[in-house]
Amino acid sequence: MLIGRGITSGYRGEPVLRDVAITVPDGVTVAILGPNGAGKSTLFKTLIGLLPLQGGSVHVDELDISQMPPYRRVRAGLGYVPQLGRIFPSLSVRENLEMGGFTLTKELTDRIDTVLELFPDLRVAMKQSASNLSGGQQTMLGMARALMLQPKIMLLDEPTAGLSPLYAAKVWESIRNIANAGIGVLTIEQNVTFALEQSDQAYVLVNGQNTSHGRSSDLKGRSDVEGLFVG
Amino acid sequence: MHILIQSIGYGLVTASVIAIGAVGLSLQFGVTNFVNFAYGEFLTLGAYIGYFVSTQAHFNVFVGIVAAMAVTGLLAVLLDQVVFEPFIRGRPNLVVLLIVTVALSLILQNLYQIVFTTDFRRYAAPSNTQYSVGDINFTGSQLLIIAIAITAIGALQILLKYTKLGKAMRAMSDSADLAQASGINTRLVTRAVWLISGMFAGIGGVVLAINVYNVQPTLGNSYLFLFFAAVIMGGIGKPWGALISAVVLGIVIEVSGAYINAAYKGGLAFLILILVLLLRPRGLFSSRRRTV
Amino acid sequence: MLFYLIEIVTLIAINVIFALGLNIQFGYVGVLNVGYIAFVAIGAYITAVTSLGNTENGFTQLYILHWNVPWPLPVLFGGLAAAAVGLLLATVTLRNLRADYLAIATLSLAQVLYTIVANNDSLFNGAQGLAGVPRPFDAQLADASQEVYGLVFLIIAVIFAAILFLATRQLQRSPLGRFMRAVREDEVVAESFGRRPLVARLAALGIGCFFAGIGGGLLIEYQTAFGSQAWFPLETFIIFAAVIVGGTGNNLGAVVGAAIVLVGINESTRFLPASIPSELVGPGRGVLIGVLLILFLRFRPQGLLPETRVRLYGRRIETPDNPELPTPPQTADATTS
Repeated sequence: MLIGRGITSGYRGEPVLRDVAITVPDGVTVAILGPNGAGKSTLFKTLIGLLPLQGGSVHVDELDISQMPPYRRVRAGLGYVPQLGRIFPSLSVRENLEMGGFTLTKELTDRIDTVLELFPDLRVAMKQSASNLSGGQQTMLGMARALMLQPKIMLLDEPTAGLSPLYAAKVWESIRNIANAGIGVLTIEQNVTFALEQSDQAYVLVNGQNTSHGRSSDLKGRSDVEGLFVG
Repeated sequence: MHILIQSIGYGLVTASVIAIGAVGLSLQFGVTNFVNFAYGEFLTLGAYIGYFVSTQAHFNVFVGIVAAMAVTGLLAVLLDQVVFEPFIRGRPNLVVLLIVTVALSLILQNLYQIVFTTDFRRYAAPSNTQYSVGDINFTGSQLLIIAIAITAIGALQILLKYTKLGKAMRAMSDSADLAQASGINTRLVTRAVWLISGMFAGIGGVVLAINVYNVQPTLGNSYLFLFFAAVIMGGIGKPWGALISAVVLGIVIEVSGAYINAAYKGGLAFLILILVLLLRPRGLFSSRRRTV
Repeated sequence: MLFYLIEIVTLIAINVIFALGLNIQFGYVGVLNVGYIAFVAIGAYITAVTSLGNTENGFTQLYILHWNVPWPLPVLFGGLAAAAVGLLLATVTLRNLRADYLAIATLSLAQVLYTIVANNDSLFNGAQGLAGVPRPFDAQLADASQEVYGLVFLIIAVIFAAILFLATRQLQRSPLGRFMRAVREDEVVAESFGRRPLVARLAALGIGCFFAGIGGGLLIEYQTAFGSQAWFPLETFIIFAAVIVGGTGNNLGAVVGAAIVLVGINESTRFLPASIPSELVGPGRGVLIGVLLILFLRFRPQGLLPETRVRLYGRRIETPDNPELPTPPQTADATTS
């Protein structure tokens, strides 16, 4: 379980997020909704440690990870797939997965096999350069890489951005499989209706602050949620 | 015709010297994302160490190289820890980091003048025996330079391609943020990169001293922009690209040097650098936006 | 003593011009011109060859142009020539976003120029450099004492520095100046100004190099000679130190920094114990300046006189003296992701 309390953070001393609270239980998919510039990506970067906390705390289960550098947060159970640059383009697909399992030694090959059961498409392309993959496959590779260390929580920043509706549904199928394995998944989605259909819970973030939170099925159709977003 | 062929041979020797410096510079540039203007001074220190160990203390040339590698490698790691890391931990600013490296270059170069004086130290050639390779005549020292370059760059290539550390270096070159967020201890990898880059400077310094027969405080600095030219031509963070560019640069410089005033060799290399920036400004580095 | 005072203030005035120019490049827009001294040298050279005419002053030197245009045109030509070379180099290297490319290109230019000039006798009179460059109002003041002429030149240098200082202040307050600082702070915010960031960088490079050339022209007229050894990069770092110590981005800081660094270097070496060999003084200065630069960047990056910062981020955009600053998009995400 991921618990963020009173999160305040931003760039160069200017807070973008103020007092944001968020909880991602194990095995549950949680979507973050909000207009452009609400601070969604900032929240993710703060959770993984690429941006420092200016206030508040982040816990994975009982463990306080607030002051840890990103690589230690990953080892503490966070997996992260950013919105841009989800893969290492000059490495092969297999090497990308190896980077995800950097701390593993002899179990590495077994772990790669296990992860690939979720993403069979990647199996045929193992020796290829990751930059040759299609956008959708790159998303899958990013997710597979983040799964290598058996995270408790996955952070997926707009996993379906730029994908066809068909591939977006495929990505969400993988996300549900990940959640069914007991991993909590936090995602950002642009398409509100789609996100509320797919996820279990949702948070609404506006101007760097939480406004609503609830079960996705309850939020669906609420004008104050869906009305927030133009286009 | 003979002059042309012979100068191609010298070009390969010059290329080997440039390649070692360029590969060491390129590796660190690619991973840390800022260029080290003090790299020439790293080489100079390596050259002095090689001179003291091999010429003054009469040890074998390889003993000199190993000693130079140890000293410059440690210097690089030390500077990373003491000087660069505090700047990177704070609010990293590319321009500030660049000025810091230039200031380091100034400090080191002037320290060498104080400690080693401005005298030209004559580096004793490890071998003056003449060898003929086809139509080209080489001295034993020149063949040694080529062999050292091939060995060093080959070893680095193996490290980058087949070891976990090397793969992590390539991953950081792609994106340091993603590497961190994959669970890679990027501080440790960065330290290793500085160590290797410094060790290459040690090799490069000795090889440079062998090639020009002398050591003085501005030795490395006068080659720095040739390294830059090779790095930019080859694509930042791509050791292979730097190697190929070094060969092109080395041959162009030596072949033209056979026909024009030797003083303009540098001007020619600069012209090549400018042409590359003009014609291939984007094709020369990866498409990602910089993160520093 | 009086002559020493006149000399140091004159040199400060000329270095203020250098520092103002570098501040426009490095302080305003954030481009790094590591070979700044090369543009000083270009300005000096062009000033010399457009004022030397055919007079040989009793010894032979070789150079181009042989013009003899009335003062202060040679100085202006020097500034324009430096600006032209700067713009040319910037056009080649600044088309992509990497600040390091320009730094590499300018450093290389300085090194290459240095070796070419020192080795080419027919254009630049080789390593000897040019001598006998006419001083302004030399004919009118032929009978004046060293002090009086020094005072006249001091006034000339101060007038130049003052004019350029006022021009810099105008630039800083102009829309172009604000745009330059926006480019330095954030590429994306800068794009909301509706102009290409490249424009700001080119303008800063051109204007800054113009200043370098003017200062170089005055310097060669003051010293009446300019050898290739004066092109050493150490000189660039004295100027960098002036800008950083004074306060990057602050024009008054550039003035104060130039004065402090120059006087500091002169004074600190004047009172050295006689036991220190003279050949160590120069390198010692180099080490000192390098250490000063790093310490300031580390512990007081804003310098002695910090720039009044215009906030370009977030929701609270305070623009006390720039009410018409365009409002950047209210997104923090867009600036980084």
